[in-house]
Amino acid sequence: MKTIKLKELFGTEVLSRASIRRIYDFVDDETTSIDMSGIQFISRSVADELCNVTDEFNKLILTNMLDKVSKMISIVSKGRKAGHQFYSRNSLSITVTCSNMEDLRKALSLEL
Amino acid sequence: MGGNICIPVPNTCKESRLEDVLMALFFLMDETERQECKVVWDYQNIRYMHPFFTSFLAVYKDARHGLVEDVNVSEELQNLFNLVRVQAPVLVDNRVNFRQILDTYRNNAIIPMCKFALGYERIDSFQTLLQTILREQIKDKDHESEFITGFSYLLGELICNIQEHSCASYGYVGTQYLESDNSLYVCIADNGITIHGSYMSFPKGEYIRLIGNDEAEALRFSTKGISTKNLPDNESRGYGISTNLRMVVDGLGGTFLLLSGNAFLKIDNQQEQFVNLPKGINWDGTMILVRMPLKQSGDFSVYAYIE
Repeated sequence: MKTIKLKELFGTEVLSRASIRRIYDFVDDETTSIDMSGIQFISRSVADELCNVTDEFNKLILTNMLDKVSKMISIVSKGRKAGHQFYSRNSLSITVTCSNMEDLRKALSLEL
Repeated sequence: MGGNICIPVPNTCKESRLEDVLMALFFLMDETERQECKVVWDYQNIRYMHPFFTSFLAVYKDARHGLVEDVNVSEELQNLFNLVRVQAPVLVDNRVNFRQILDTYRNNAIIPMCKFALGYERIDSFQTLLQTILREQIKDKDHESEFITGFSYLLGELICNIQEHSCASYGYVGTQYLESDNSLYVCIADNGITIHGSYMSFPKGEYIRLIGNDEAEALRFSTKGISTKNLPDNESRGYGISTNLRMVVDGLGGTFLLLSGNAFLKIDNQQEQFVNLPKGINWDGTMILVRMPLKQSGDFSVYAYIE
Protein backbone atom coordinates (compact mmCIF):
# COMPACT_ATOMS: atom_id res chain seq x y z
CA MET A 1 0.00 0.00 0.00
CA LYS A 2 1.40 3.31 -1.02
CA THR A 3 0.03 6.84 -0.85
CA ILE A 4 1.24 9.74 -2.95
CA LYS A 5 0.90 13.21 -1.47
CA LEU A 6 0.27 15.45 -4.45
CA LYS A 7 1.10 18.68 -2.64
CA GLU A 8 4.60 17.46 -1.86
CA LEU A 9 5.21 16.86 -5.55
CA PHE A 10 3.47 19.78 -7.22
CA GLY A 11 2.57 22.45 -4.64
CA THR A 12 -0.88 23.76 -3.78
CA GLU A 13 -2.10 24.60 -7.31
CA VAL A 14 -1.59 22.12 -10.10
CA LEU A 15 -2.30 23.72 -13.44
CA SER A 16 -0.36 22.27 -16.31
CA ARG A 17 -0.80 18.94 -17.99
CA ALA A 18 2.97 18.69 -18.32
CA SER A 19 3.39 18.90 -14.53
CA ILE A 20 0.83 16.31 -13.58
CA ARG A 21 2.12 13.82 -16.16
CA ARG A 22 5.20 13.48 -13.98
CA ILE A 23 2.98 11.64 -11.53
CA TYR A 24 3.55 8.51 -13.63
CA ASP A 25 7.11 8.53 -12.25
CA PHE A 26 5.64 7.86 -8.80
CA VAL A 27 2.52 5.76 -9.35
CA ASP A 28 2.76 1.99 -9.64
CA ASP A 29 0.63 -1.07 -8.91
CA GLU A 30 1.38 -0.72 -5.19
CA THR A 31 -0.14 2.76 -5.05
CA THR A 32 -3.59 2.77 -3.48
CA SER A 33 -4.32 6.48 -3.08
CA ILE A 34 -3.37 9.98 -4.08
CA ASP A 35 -3.70 12.30 -1.12
CA MET A 36 -5.02 15.65 -2.37
CA SER A 37 -4.90 17.44 0.99
CA GLY A 38 -3.52 20.96 0.68
CA ILE A 39 -4.37 21.20 -3.03
CA GLN A 40 -6.28 24.46 -3.49
CA PHE A 41 -6.99 24.35 -7.22
CA ILE A 42 -6.49 22.09 -10.21
CA SER A 43 -7.08 23.06 -13.81
CA ARG A 44 -9.42 21.18 -16.09
CA SER A 45 -6.47 19.66 -17.93
CA VAL A 46 -5.00 18.38 -14.68
CA ALA A 47 -8.37 16.90 -13.71
CA ASP A 48 -8.45 15.12 -17.06
CA GLU A 49 -4.96 13.73 -16.54
CA LEU A 50 -5.89 12.53 -13.04
CA CYS A 51 -8.86 10.72 -14.59
CA ASN A 52 -6.40 9.06 -16.99
CA VAL A 53 -4.32 7.92 -14.02
CA THR A 54 -7.30 6.48 -12.12
CA ASP A 55 -8.51 4.79 -15.30
CA GLU A 56 -5.15 3.16 -15.79
CA PHE A 57 -4.66 2.19 -12.14
CA ASN A 58 -8.24 1.33 -11.32
CA LYS A 59 -7.66 0.50 -7.65
CA LEU A 60 -6.34 4.00 -7.09
CA ILE A 61 -8.52 6.51 -5.25
CA LEU A 62 -8.22 10.26 -4.74
CA THR A 63 -8.62 11.35 -1.11
CA ASN A 64 -8.96 14.51 0.98
CA MET A 65 -10.14 16.78 -1.81
CA LEU A 66 -11.47 20.28 -1.25
CA ASP A 67 -14.98 20.82 -2.63
CA LYS A 68 -13.84 22.83 -5.64
CA VAL A 69 -11.17 20.27 -6.53
CA SER A 70 -13.67 17.46 -6.19
CA LYS A 71 -16.15 19.43 -8.30
CA MET A 72 -13.63 19.90 -11.12
CA ILE A 73 -12.81 16.19 -11.19
CA SER A 74 -16.46 15.23 -11.08
CA ILE A 75 -17.39 17.52 -14.01
CA VAL A 76 -14.48 16.35 -16.13
CA SER A 77 -15.13 12.70 -15.30
CA LYS A 78 -18.79 13.02 -16.33
CA GLY A 79 -17.77 14.88 -19.50
CA ARG A 80 -15.42 12.08 -20.50
CA LYS A 81 -18.21 9.55 -20.20
CA ALA A 82 -20.79 11.70 -21.98
CA GLY A 83 -18.80 11.96 -25.19
CA HIS A 84 -17.81 15.01 -27.13
CA GLN A 85 -20.40 17.78 -27.41
CA PHE A 86 -19.63 20.15 -30.28
CA TYR A 87 -20.70 23.54 -29.20
CA SER A 88 -22.74 25.99 -31.23
CA ARG A 89 -23.66 29.46 -30.01
CA ASN A 90 -26.97 31.07 -30.82
CA SER A 91 -25.62 34.50 -31.69
CA LEU A 92 -25.15 35.77 -35.24
CA SER A 93 -22.15 34.25 -36.88
CA ILE A 94 -20.45 35.58 -40.00
CA THR A 95 -17.28 34.85 -41.90
CA VAL A 96 -15.68 37.60 -43.94
CA THR A 97 -12.74 37.50 -46.31
CA CYS A 98 -11.01 40.84 -46.65
CA SER A 99 -8.70 41.61 -49.52
CA ASN A 100 -7.67 45.08 -48.33
CA MET A 101 -7.80 47.42 -45.36
CA GLU A 102 -11.03 49.06 -46.52
CA ASP A 103 -12.75 45.66 -46.55
CA LEU A 104 -11.43 45.08 -43.06
CA ARG A 105 -12.63 48.45 -41.80
CA LYS A 106 -16.10 47.74 -43.15
CA ALA A 107 -16.10 44.24 -41.66
CA LEU A 108 -15.13 45.47 -38.21
CA SER A 109 -17.78 48.20 -38.34
CA LEU A 110 -20.52 45.73 -39.16
CA GLU A 111 -23.48 45.98 -36.85
CA LEU A 112 -25.94 43.25 -37.65
CA MET B 1 16.31 57.36 -38.04
CA GLY B 2 18.56 57.15 -41.12
CA GLY B 3 16.78 55.59 -44.09
CA ASN B 4 14.27 53.70 -42.01
CA ILE B 5 10.57 53.90 -42.82
CA CYS B 6 8.60 55.97 -40.32
CA ILE B 7 5.06 54.83 -39.50
CA PRO B 8 2.72 57.04 -37.43
CA VAL B 9 1.16 55.00 -34.64
CA PRO B 10 -2.62 55.55 -34.55
CA ASN B 11 -4.10 57.09 -31.44
CA THR B 12 -6.19 54.87 -29.17
CA CYS B 13 -7.30 55.64 -25.66
CA LYS B 14 -9.13 53.78 -22.93
CA GLU B 15 -12.46 55.09 -24.25
CA SER B 16 -11.77 54.01 -27.84
CA ARG B 17 -14.27 51.72 -29.49
CA LEU B 18 -12.92 48.22 -29.82
CA GLU B 19 -13.29 48.39 -33.60
CA ASP B 20 -11.04 51.47 -33.68
CA VAL B 21 -8.43 49.76 -31.52
CA LEU B 22 -8.43 46.75 -33.82
CA MET B 23 -8.13 48.89 -36.94
CA ALA B 24 -5.21 50.74 -35.36
CA LEU B 25 -3.54 47.46 -34.55
CA PHE B 26 -4.10 46.02 -38.04
CA PHE B 27 -2.98 49.26 -39.71
CA LEU B 28 0.30 49.13 -37.80
CA MET B 29 0.84 45.48 -38.67
CA ASP B 30 0.03 46.07 -42.33
CA GLU B 31 2.34 49.06 -42.67
CA THR B 32 5.14 47.35 -40.74
CA GLU B 33 4.94 44.03 -42.58
CA ARG B 34 5.17 45.80 -45.95
CA GLN B 35 8.67 46.98 -45.14
CA GLU B 36 11.70 44.83 -45.61
CA CYS B 37 13.94 47.02 -43.46
CA LYS B 38 13.89 48.26 -39.92
CA VAL B 39 10.92 50.54 -39.24
CA VAL B 40 10.32 53.43 -36.88
CA TRP B 41 7.04 53.80 -35.03
CA ASP B 42 6.25 57.44 -34.39
CA TYR B 43 4.15 58.06 -31.26
CA GLN B 44 3.77 61.81 -31.69
CA ASN B 45 0.73 63.25 -29.86
CA ILE B 46 -0.05 59.95 -28.13
CA ARG B 47 -0.45 60.16 -24.37
CA TYR B 48 -2.22 56.93 -23.57
CA MET B 49 -3.06 53.62 -25.19
CA HIS B 50 -5.83 51.07 -24.94
CA PRO B 51 -4.76 47.91 -23.02
CA PHE B 52 -5.25 45.65 -26.03
CA PHE B 53 -2.98 47.92 -28.07
CA THR B 54 -0.13 48.00 -25.53
CA SER B 55 -0.40 44.22 -25.08
CA PHE B 56 -0.19 43.74 -28.82
CA LEU B 57 2.77 46.11 -29.11
CA ALA B 58 4.68 44.26 -26.39
CA VAL B 59 4.29 40.86 -28.04
CA TYR B 60 4.76 42.10 -31.60
CA LYS B 61 7.88 44.15 -30.84
CA ASP B 62 9.46 41.27 -28.95
CA ALA B 63 8.83 38.90 -31.85
CA ARG B 64 10.38 41.39 -34.28
CA HIS B 65 13.66 41.30 -32.32
CA GLY B 66 14.59 44.96 -32.43
CA LEU B 67 13.45 45.60 -36.00
CA VAL B 68 11.04 48.23 -34.71
CA GLU B 69 12.34 51.45 -33.16
CA ASP B 70 10.19 53.88 -31.15
CA VAL B 71 10.37 57.68 -31.51
CA ASN B 72 8.52 60.63 -30.00
CA VAL B 73 7.38 58.67 -26.97
CA SER B 74 6.01 61.15 -24.44
CA GLU B 75 7.06 60.84 -20.81
CA GLU B 76 3.53 59.80 -19.89
CA LEU B 77 3.47 57.10 -22.53
CA GLN B 78 6.98 55.91 -21.66
CA ASN B 79 5.84 55.44 -18.06
CA LEU B 80 2.99 53.27 -19.31
CA PHE B 81 5.37 51.35 -21.58
CA ASN B 82 7.72 50.76 -18.65
CA LEU B 83 4.88 49.45 -16.49
CA VAL B 84 3.47 47.15 -19.17
CA ARG B 85 7.00 46.26 -20.27
CA VAL B 86 6.14 47.04 -23.87
CA GLN B 87 9.79 47.37 -24.85
CA ALA B 88 11.15 44.45 -22.85
CA PRO B 89 8.83 41.76 -21.45
CA VAL B 90 9.65 40.20 -18.08
CA LEU B 91 11.58 37.03 -18.82
CA VAL B 92 10.26 34.08 -16.83
CA ASP B 93 13.05 31.56 -16.41
CA ASN B 94 15.57 30.32 -13.89
CA ARG B 95 18.15 32.97 -14.78
CA VAL B 96 16.01 35.94 -13.81
CA ASN B 97 14.44 36.84 -10.48
CA PHE B 98 11.07 37.50 -12.08
CA ARG B 99 9.32 37.08 -8.74
CA GLN B 100 11.05 40.15 -7.42
CA ILE B 101 9.96 42.14 -10.48
CA LEU B 102 6.36 40.92 -10.32
CA ASP B 103 6.13 41.54 -6.58
CA THR B 104 6.42 45.28 -7.29
CA TYR B 105 3.09 45.08 -9.15
CA ARG B 106 0.99 43.90 -6.22
CA ASN B 107 -0.48 47.36 -5.64
CA ASN B 108 -0.82 48.17 -9.30
CA ALA B 109 -3.55 47.59 -11.89
CA ILE B 110 -1.19 45.88 -14.29
CA ILE B 111 0.61 42.58 -14.59
CA PRO B 112 3.40 43.33 -17.05
CA MET B 113 3.88 41.36 -20.22
CA CYS B 114 5.75 38.21 -19.21
CA LYS B 115 7.58 35.95 -21.64
CA PHE B 116 8.02 32.29 -20.71
CA ALA B 117 9.88 29.52 -22.50
CA LEU B 118 7.64 26.59 -23.36
CA GLY B 119 9.82 24.11 -21.54
CA TYR B 120 9.95 26.14 -18.34
CA GLU B 121 9.45 23.52 -15.66
CA ARG B 122 8.00 25.83 -12.99
CA ILE B 123 5.18 27.17 -15.11
CA ASP B 124 2.61 26.18 -12.47
CA SER B 125 4.21 28.27 -9.76
CA PHE B 126 4.47 31.18 -12.22
CA GLN B 127 0.73 30.94 -12.89
CA THR B 128 0.01 30.73 -9.18
CA LEU B 129 2.06 33.89 -8.65
CA LEU B 130 0.05 35.71 -11.34
CA GLN B 131 -3.21 34.65 -9.69
CA THR B 132 -1.96 35.77 -6.28
CA ILE B 133 -0.96 39.18 -7.61
CA LEU B 134 -4.24 39.62 -9.47
CA ARG B 135 -6.20 38.63 -6.37
CA GLU B 136 -4.44 41.41 -4.44
CA GLN B 137 -4.90 43.92 -7.25
CA ILE B 138 -8.67 43.50 -7.43
CA LYS B 139 -9.42 42.77 -3.78
CA ASP B 140 -11.13 46.13 -3.28
CA LYS B 141 -13.03 46.06 -6.54
CA ASP B 142 -16.60 44.99 -7.07
CA HIS B 143 -16.08 41.32 -7.68
CA GLU B 144 -16.98 37.84 -6.58
CA SER B 145 -14.43 35.22 -5.68
CA GLU B 146 -15.55 33.26 -8.73
CA PHE B 147 -13.84 35.83 -10.94
CA ILE B 148 -10.39 34.66 -9.85
CA THR B 149 -11.42 31.06 -10.44
CA GLY B 150 -12.50 32.09 -13.94
CA PHE B 151 -9.19 33.82 -14.52
CA SER B 152 -7.33 30.74 -13.25
CA TYR B 153 -9.32 28.55 -15.60
CA LEU B 154 -8.64 30.83 -18.59
CA LEU B 155 -4.95 31.07 -17.81
CA GLY B 156 -4.51 27.37 -17.11
CA GLU B 157 -6.28 26.12 -20.22
CA LEU B 158 -4.80 28.62 -22.65
CA ILE B 159 -1.25 28.17 -21.39
CA CYS B 160 -1.82 24.43 -21.57
CA ASN B 161 -2.96 24.87 -25.18
CA ILE B 162 0.27 26.70 -25.97
CA GLN B 163 2.31 23.92 -24.38
CA GLU B 164 0.43 21.09 -26.05
CA HIS B 165 -0.22 22.37 -29.57
CA SER B 166 1.55 25.55 -30.58
CA CYS B 167 5.08 24.20 -31.16
CA ALA B 168 6.10 27.68 -30.02
CA SER B 169 9.36 28.59 -28.39
CA TYR B 170 7.79 31.27 -26.19
CA GLY B 171 4.48 32.20 -24.66
CA TYR B 172 3.37 35.60 -23.35
CA VAL B 173 0.90 36.67 -20.71
CA GLY B 174 -0.05 40.07 -19.31
CA THR B 175 -3.11 41.79 -17.80
CA GLN B 176 -4.39 45.31 -17.28
CA TYR B 177 -7.36 46.38 -15.19
CA LEU B 178 -9.35 49.39 -16.40
CA GLU B 179 -11.34 51.29 -13.81
CA SER B 180 -13.43 53.01 -16.48
CA ASP B 181 -15.27 49.82 -17.45
CA ASN B 182 -14.37 47.71 -14.40
CA SER B 183 -12.81 45.09 -16.64
CA LEU B 184 -9.67 43.02 -16.77
CA TYR B 185 -7.90 42.96 -20.15
CA VAL B 186 -5.90 39.77 -20.61
CA CYS B 187 -3.40 38.92 -23.33
CA ILE B 188 -2.09 35.38 -23.86
CA ALA B 189 0.03 34.76 -26.93
CA ASP B 190 2.59 32.49 -28.51
CA ASN B 191 4.92 32.48 -31.50
CA GLY B 192 3.91 29.01 -32.70
CA ILE B 193 2.38 27.31 -35.72
CA THR B 194 -1.07 29.00 -35.48
CA ILE B 195 -4.42 27.26 -34.99
CA HIS B 196 -4.73 26.55 -38.73
CA GLY B 197 -1.22 25.10 -38.67
CA SER B 198 -2.16 22.93 -35.71
CA TYR B 199 -5.14 21.46 -37.59
CA MET B 200 -2.99 20.95 -40.68
CA SER B 201 -0.41 19.04 -38.66
CA PHE B 202 -3.03 16.51 -37.55
CA PRO B 203 -1.45 13.11 -38.33
CA LYS B 204 -4.12 11.66 -40.62
CA GLY B 205 -4.64 14.88 -42.55
CA GLU B 206 -8.40 14.85 -41.91
CA TYR B 207 -8.64 18.56 -41.39
CA ILE B 208 -6.89 19.44 -44.64
CA ARG B 209 -10.01 18.26 -46.49
CA LEU B 210 -12.40 20.09 -44.15
CA ILE B 211 -10.55 23.36 -43.73
CA GLY B 212 -8.13 23.65 -46.65
CA ASN B 213 -6.40 27.01 -46.69
CA ASP B 214 -9.25 28.81 -44.95
CA GLU B 215 -7.66 30.07 -41.74
CA ALA B 216 -10.88 31.71 -40.52
CA GLU B 217 -12.61 28.33 -40.83
CA ALA B 218 -9.90 26.84 -38.62
CA LEU B 219 -10.76 29.42 -35.98
CA ARG B 220 -14.44 28.52 -36.30
CA PHE B 221 -13.55 24.86 -35.70
CA SER B 222 -11.60 25.77 -32.60
CA THR B 223 -14.53 27.72 -31.13
CA LYS B 224 -16.78 24.70 -31.51
CA GLY B 225 -14.48 22.53 -29.48
CA ILE B 226 -13.36 20.49 -32.46
CA SER B 227 -10.05 19.21 -31.29
CA THR B 228 -6.56 19.04 -32.65
CA LYS B 229 -5.80 16.66 -29.86
CA ASN B 230 -7.04 13.37 -31.27
CA LEU B 231 -3.80 11.60 -30.57
CA PRO B 232 -3.67 8.18 -28.92
CA ASP B 233 -2.33 9.48 -25.62
CA ASN B 234 -4.32 12.68 -25.46
CA GLU B 235 -7.87 13.54 -24.57
CA SER B 236 -10.00 13.88 -27.69
CA ARG B 237 -11.22 17.35 -26.84
CA GLY B 238 -10.40 20.91 -27.69
CA TYR B 239 -11.97 22.70 -24.78
CA GLY B 240 -9.36 25.32 -24.20
CA ILE B 241 -10.84 27.88 -26.56
CA SER B 242 -14.50 26.87 -26.79
CA THR B 243 -15.21 26.68 -23.07
CA ASN B 244 -13.21 29.78 -22.27
CA LEU B 245 -15.01 31.90 -24.79
CA ARG B 246 -18.36 30.67 -23.46
CA MET B 247 -17.28 31.59 -19.94
CA VAL B 248 -16.02 35.01 -21.01
CA VAL B 249 -18.85 35.94 -23.39
CA ASP B 250 -21.90 34.14 -22.00
CA GLY B 251 -20.85 34.03 -18.36
CA LEU B 252 -19.18 37.38 -17.87
CA GLY B 253 -20.54 39.42 -20.78
CA GLY B 254 -17.03 40.07 -22.03
CA THR B 255 -15.26 39.99 -25.38
CA PHE B 256 -13.01 37.33 -26.85
CA LEU B 257 -10.57 38.21 -29.64
CA LEU B 258 -8.18 35.85 -31.31
CA LEU B 259 -5.53 36.56 -33.93
CA SER B 260 -3.82 33.54 -35.43
CA GLY B 261 -1.83 33.54 -38.64
CA ASN B 262 -3.80 35.40 -41.29
CA ALA B 263 -7.16 35.15 -39.52
CA PHE B 264 -8.98 36.84 -36.71
CA LEU B 265 -12.10 36.27 -34.66
CA LYS B 266 -14.13 38.55 -32.48
CA ILE B 267 -16.91 37.21 -30.29
CA ASP B 268 -19.14 39.13 -27.93
CA ASN B 269 -22.74 38.71 -26.88
CA GLN B 270 -23.96 40.36 -30.09
CA GLN B 271 -22.21 38.31 -32.74
CA GLU B 272 -19.29 36.12 -33.66
CA GLN B 273 -17.15 37.25 -36.55
CA PHE B 274 -14.48 35.22 -38.32
CA VAL B 275 -12.23 37.20 -40.62
CA ASN B 276 -9.67 36.17 -43.21
CA LEU B 277 -7.38 39.19 -43.01
CA PRO B 278 -5.86 40.97 -46.01
CA LYS B 279 -2.63 39.38 -47.16
CA GLY B 280 0.27 40.92 -45.31
CA ILE B 281 -1.49 41.07 -41.94
CA ASN B 282 -0.15 37.99 -40.30
CA TRP B 283 0.82 36.99 -36.79
CA ASP B 284 3.20 34.03 -36.71
CA GLY B 285 1.48 32.41 -33.78
CA THR B 286 -1.71 32.92 -31.82
CA MET B 287 -2.68 35.93 -29.76
CA ILE B 288 -5.76 35.90 -27.54
CA LEU B 289 -7.09 39.15 -26.13
CA VAL B 290 -9.92 38.94 -23.61
CA ARG B 291 -11.99 41.54 -21.81
CA MET B 292 -13.38 40.12 -18.57
CA PRO B 293 -15.87 42.38 -16.76
CA LEU B 294 -15.44 42.04 -13.00
CA LYS B 295 -19.03 42.73 -12.14
CA GLN B 296 -20.98 39.54 -12.60
CA SER B 297 -24.50 38.47 -12.08
CA GLY B 298 -24.84 36.67 -8.76
CA ASP B 299 -25.21 33.23 -10.27
CA PHE B 300 -21.99 33.20 -12.32
CA SER B 301 -20.06 30.02 -11.78
CA VAL B 302 -17.08 28.98 -13.83
CA TYR B 303 -18.08 25.34 -13.36
CA ALA B 304 -21.13 25.90 -15.56
CA TYR B 305 -18.78 26.25 -18.54
CA ILE B 306 -16.45 23.35 -17.90
CA GLU B 307 -17.12 20.02 -19.52
